[in-house]
Amino acid sequence: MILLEINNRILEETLTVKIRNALNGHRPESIDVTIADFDSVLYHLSNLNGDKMKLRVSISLKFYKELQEHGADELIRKVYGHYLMSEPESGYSVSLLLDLEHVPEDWPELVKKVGLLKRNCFASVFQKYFECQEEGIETNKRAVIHYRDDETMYVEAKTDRVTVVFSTIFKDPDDIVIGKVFMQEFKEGKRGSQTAPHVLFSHKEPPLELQDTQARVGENIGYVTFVLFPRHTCKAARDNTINLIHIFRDYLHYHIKCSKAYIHTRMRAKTSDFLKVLNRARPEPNKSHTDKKTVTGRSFVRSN
Amino acid sequence: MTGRLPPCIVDVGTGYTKLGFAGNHEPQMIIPSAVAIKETAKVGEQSQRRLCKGVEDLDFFIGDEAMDATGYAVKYPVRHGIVEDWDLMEKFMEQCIFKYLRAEPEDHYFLLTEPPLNTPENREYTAEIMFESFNVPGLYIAVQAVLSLAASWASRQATERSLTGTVIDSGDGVTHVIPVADGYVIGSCIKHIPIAGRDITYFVQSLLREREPNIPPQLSMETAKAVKEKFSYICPDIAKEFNKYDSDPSKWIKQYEGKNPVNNQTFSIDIGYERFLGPEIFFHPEFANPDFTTPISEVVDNVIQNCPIDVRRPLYKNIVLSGGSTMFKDFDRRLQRDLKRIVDARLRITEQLSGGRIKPKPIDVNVIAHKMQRYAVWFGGSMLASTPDFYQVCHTKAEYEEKGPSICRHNPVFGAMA
Repeated sequence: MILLEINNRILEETLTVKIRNALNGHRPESIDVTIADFDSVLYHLSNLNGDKMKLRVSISLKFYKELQEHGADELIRKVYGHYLMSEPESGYSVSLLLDLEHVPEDWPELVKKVGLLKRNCFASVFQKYFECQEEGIETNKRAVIHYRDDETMYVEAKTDRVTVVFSTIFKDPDDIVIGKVFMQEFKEGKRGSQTAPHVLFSHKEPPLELQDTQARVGENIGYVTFVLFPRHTCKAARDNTINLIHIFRDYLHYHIKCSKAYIHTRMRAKTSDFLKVLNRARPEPNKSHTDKKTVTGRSFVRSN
Repeated sequence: MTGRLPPCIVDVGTGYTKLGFAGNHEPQMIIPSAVAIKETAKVGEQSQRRLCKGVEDLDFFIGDEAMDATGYAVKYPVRHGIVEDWDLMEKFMEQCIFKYLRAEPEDHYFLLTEPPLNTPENREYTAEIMFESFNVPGLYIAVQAVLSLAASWASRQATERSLTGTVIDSGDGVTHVIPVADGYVIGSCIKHIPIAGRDITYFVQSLLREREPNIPPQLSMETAKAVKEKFSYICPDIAKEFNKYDSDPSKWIKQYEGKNPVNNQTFSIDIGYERFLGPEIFFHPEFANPDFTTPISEVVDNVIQNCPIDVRRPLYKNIVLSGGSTMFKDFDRRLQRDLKRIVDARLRITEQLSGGRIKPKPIDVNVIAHKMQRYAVWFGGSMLASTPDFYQVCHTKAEYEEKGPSICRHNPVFGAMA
């Protein structure tokens, strides 16, 4: 698995089981499940007012307020239509309501769509700026999304490009080193594929675009800048670009962890190698003192 | 701290891995503990062969996808509950966390499980993987039997929560009887019984084979499994049960309909004595296994009699069932009755031998069945991890960096009412 999946498997499977049960006419059971996702996202599946046939799916994003400024509500309404509840569950950002008594024919589609809830919440900000760029409007305001407690994403549209900057924190000193090497490889990506977006990586200090903001400076902070050209933001490629970029931070950390796991594999291989060398070097026990036995079990002593 | 994300509970078993978030009643994912990797034909040691260039180390599948992958070798990193291949285990955790749980490991505390008699070294290896590779903020490694005990609290009052008891854990492969005193497993007294879910299925299958010629051969295992899961129960007395069936067959004999996937024809079979004979092999193992003839009630009694004398009464008082193969109806009642008979007989003998001078206090025998039996271990973990105490007993990353992996050798017991 090189790319992370964007849909939530647990959510999809839980819904599939529920809908199958309802379609097969099994006795409905109440549900109350809380699951997490990347970027401190929480889902809550429950029954509305204790009615076992009404399934409510709520998502909580800490930074939903910031997304709302960029039209998250409209996008969600457009995608989910009448499944969207007008009032989200208290403590959550968006709630969907599925009626198990009236399951539509194409319910696998619906389940897929619900599984992408987090992606769709995220998508609005990219959509907006991609559209701005397409129409040639230069916005001076850049979107700032605090997608994690101490990590931030900035999106900015120019007439000919959209820049997306991620700041990320490395909790472990080893991560900084591996992250740096990994990002170096990313920068070179342009050479491998002509159509790849421009990627810049700066460690400790924010890139020039963010100079006038209060972007954090520190030993364990890294900034990754993507420059997306119309090739990436055009209608045909847009969805794919959003799919890939909104999960970039988790992708980066996933690969850092995988690299460490691979280094561990190498270390284990090396250790077993060294152990072999050590075992070979062990001195043989002195032969002259051991007495040898014949097949019948008698001691064999050389008579010289 | 409020607003903390729920801890992840990962219960890696020999056959299946149960994944999920604390606070829920059931695991969110149940996947086979299998890893499918591409193996090179190079000569040399296994560890050397695994090294590769590029991103081939990411080319693997786990769980159900591993079973379906073609061109890959399917491996099981866990044998008899104990991790054998740490390279594969690390990969397995990688996908468990990022693909199935979709949790950033830096944000979640983790509760992992281990079998009784796991070695402290293995705990250290686990800690190394979790802290070094995944940067988890906190880790707790719990013993499965203790979690099963904790799971049984759900059906009881708060005052009766104790971590002393006997756990009968029966899955697909093997059944264990594990005595636990104050949250610590009495390792020297654990006993295994070679009768579990799979043996019951085989036994039912052999019974059906003799009587029902209609079952297509390729479906015989599946049918036996369905009969076991849907219709089986435990009877108080086999002789009486046979009579009951013979006198009124229409009431007791059930019908089962299956469909042959090859020619789409349905077949129907009668299910008779199999209903109670299948699970009966727990109490009469000689039906199915000529080498092992000790009934489960006797094994439990032996285990408790081997334990230190001061914990025997509480062990009899709190016998907890866990695992899918203990879900048969009335399993608890039958076990309790049989065990009570053995115990009472022993007390009577004591009284006789003393010539009536000693009147022993009767022993309470209690077998506890509860709703969470099937995934008892996972549920116990989910329950304990959602208490505030959990964060107190977890080993944190700061502690790990200060002292090293040896901190995970010991995981303090918590959750019991003092």
